[in-house]
Amino acid sequence: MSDGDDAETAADSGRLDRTTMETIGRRAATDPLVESWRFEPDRIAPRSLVLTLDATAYPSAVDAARIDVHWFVTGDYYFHYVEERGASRFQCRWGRHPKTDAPRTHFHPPSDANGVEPSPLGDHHLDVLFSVLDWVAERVERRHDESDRSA
Amino acid sequence: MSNDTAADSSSDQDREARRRWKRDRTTFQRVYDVMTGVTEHASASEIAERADCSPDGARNALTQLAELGIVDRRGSRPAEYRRNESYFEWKRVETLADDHTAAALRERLDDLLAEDADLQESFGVPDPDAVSVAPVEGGDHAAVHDRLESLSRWRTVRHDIELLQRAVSRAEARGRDGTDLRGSA
Repeated sequence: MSDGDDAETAADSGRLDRTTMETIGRRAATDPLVESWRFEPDRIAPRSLVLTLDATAYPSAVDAARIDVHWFVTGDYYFHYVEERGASRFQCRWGRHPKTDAPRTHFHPPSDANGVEPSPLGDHHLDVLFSVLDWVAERVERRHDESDRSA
Repeated sequence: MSNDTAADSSSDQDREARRRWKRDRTTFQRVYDVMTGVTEHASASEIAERADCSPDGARNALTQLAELGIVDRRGSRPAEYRRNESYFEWKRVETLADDHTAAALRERLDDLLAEDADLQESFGVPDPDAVSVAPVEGGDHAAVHDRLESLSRWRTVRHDIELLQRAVSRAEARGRDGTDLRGSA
């Protein structure tokens, strides 16, 4: 279960792992901040898991928030957090996948997910999910603090 | 300094989402949740750690899951476990045949076959296993990345074609071809 960054740099992620993605969806759905989960484009041949977050938990400036999840049979993944605020977006992405210019496991920080940093997330699907959900809970709290200060 | 940094998993035991999972799910359910994501053999003590339970609790649940055919057991000193891929594939095929008509499944299958034909053409080989990915040193990062992503997508398409073909046969065997209005979504 080690990262093997050097040896694996040119290896693809393998196919999507819908068994793991379904568990991630079902367990995420019990989180108070997660409104629902669904497969996109459909359940017949899913290509991504979408966790819709409860927009009413955020200050009113946030219109919608979601996490797009891809999990692969090799243990590679993407967790992409997107917050819509009017025409603007706040986003970041946790990833474990072949990357030629960064470690296989990495984080693209907000607000535009363009930079890249080392990621402290674990390897297992539930560890990754729980860490991301905790991050979202802190994010929602911070948004309220910011909106209280500016009020 | 902003707190918008990557989530920190170093203190997982104390974190809210994991704590809630441990409170709301039984040991058996947690071991099941863990095993759905275990594709490489792991020992009962590794699984216990991930499921937040005792090694005996994990072994007990794993024995039941193995009897149900949901996990696959290897060896005995110590035994190692991973999810039984054929169980989850069977389950997906059955669910597809339950929830969709053969006609709806066939329509989606045709999309995937067309996508597969495009991928064969773009890679210039008949099969994803025949693709060679050049070493990355000095290569164009974006191009290599796109190629790896397409290859991964191709493996997903191939897998879905195989499962959808099985699901179409199952749906046809149940005599639902176009006559069942229950669900073509």
